[in-house]
Amino acid sequence: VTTFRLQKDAGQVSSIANDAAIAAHAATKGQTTEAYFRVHMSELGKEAGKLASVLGSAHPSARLAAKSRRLVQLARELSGELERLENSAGDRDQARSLGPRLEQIARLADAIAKNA
Amino acid sequence: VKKLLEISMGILASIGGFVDIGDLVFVTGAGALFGYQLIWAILVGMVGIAVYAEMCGRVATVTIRPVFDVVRERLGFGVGLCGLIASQLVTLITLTAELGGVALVLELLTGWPYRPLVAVATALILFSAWFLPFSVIEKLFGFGGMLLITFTVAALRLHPHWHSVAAGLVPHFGHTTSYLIWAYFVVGLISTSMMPYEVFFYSSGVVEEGWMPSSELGLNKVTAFLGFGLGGGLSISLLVVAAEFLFPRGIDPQSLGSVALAPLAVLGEVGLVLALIGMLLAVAGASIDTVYAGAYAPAQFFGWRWGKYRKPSEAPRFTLTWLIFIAIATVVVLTGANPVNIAEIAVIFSAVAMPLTYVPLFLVARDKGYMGTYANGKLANTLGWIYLVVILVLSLTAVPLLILTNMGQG
Repeated sequence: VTTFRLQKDAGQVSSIANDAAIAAHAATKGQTTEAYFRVHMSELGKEAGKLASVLGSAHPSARLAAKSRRLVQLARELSGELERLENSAGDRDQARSLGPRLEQIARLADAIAKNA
Repeated sequence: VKKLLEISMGILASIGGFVDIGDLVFVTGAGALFGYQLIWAILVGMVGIAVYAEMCGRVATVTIRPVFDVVRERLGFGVGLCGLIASQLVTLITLTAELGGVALVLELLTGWPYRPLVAVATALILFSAWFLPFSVIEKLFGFGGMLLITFTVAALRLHPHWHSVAAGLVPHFGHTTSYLIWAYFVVGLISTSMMPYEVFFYSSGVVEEGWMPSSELGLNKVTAFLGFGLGGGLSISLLVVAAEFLFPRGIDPQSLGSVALAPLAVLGEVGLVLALIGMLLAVAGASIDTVYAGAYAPAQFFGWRWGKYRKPSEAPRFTLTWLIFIAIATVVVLTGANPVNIAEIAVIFSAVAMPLTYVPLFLVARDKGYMGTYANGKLANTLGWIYLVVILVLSLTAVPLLILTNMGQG
């Protein structure tokens, strides 16, 4: 794992989390269709899961090890939250409760990208 | 009045038929990564396809010979055959991406599982290609694709920075440090507008519709420049939406669901549904274009009987070819290959194959001995030469950039 790679992957985690947060916000207001929300959360969840698995199997240098571990945790958590959203598509309360955490994951991943 | 209505309908259908899955992928990706910086590349591609579509329509109207007839004559059998094989491969990859794209959008609309929807997409394309006349295909998919205007509405609702939009009309790097990725997207944006299947389909349609030099050359010019030109406007809307909504939020769209995110956020559920239906019909329309393009090319090259207006029994090899195309594309999509990645590959490899289509076309269109008074004028020749250089540069740089940038991922 190079600094460049870590920045790219952190950017990707942030991108997925931001995307999901916007969709969750729309779901909270009842402005999306259930089908779109479920399928899109599934797409994003698979991306996050793939990213978590690739990051988890990589060997970062000692300098990047802590940040890389933190990013793996975030990617795994993101994947889990997206799966919950996928399974509860149509549940506005669930979307309302998970939206802020998705935004937070995006901010944390952004911070890793900037400080890598 | 009837003629005027016919012209307007043709133009509207061209606008709606301009955008395909390659545009959705590359244009949205470019806006999300580079903001407004690459609008100029869409314009370069838009003028390029209009210039060459006008030439191929004129050649087909005057000589009653579509593109691959011309390719064989000008390049000879051996080189022409290489061109045919390259074009067929690119058209097949493109069809695979479009077919998978139809299934993906259907999935976003219905929520049903993906693989059965691939079968539905195949049935839809098969039914349309077999049973529907051109006029219905044009209206259903061309006009339906116009629903992509939802992105234009979303772009306007986002109150774009017009100064930045204008700055994007001039090539510049801005704050970019990834010059190779910048170049990769430039190649992608120009190539996706100039996919060769578009001229195969257009010129064959001209022959099928029996256009006459005395009455239809004006229509050809108007359709090529206004239709493709305004179609480029839809692409620019996609880019503006991505630049205004995805770029500041750091969202890199990796799926078609992310392409529809901005209409959802800006226009709500109605915007989402209209955008998805527009995407569905635009991509399905492109699928039908590629299905026919894949059959037109070999039929014209080998001199088989061909034509949408002929019964399948009157043009059996032509019919069998497009059926085989659909079958192969369906099998590839069913393996689980990602249509978005396939679309990127199709666009990049179409850049490689472009000279084999556009060079012979240009040579014939400018040949006074062949075209007589209908040969290229000064403007068409100048633009033709300029675009020949552009096409050669795209052709030589596309694959190296694909490899060096890891498909634009860095």
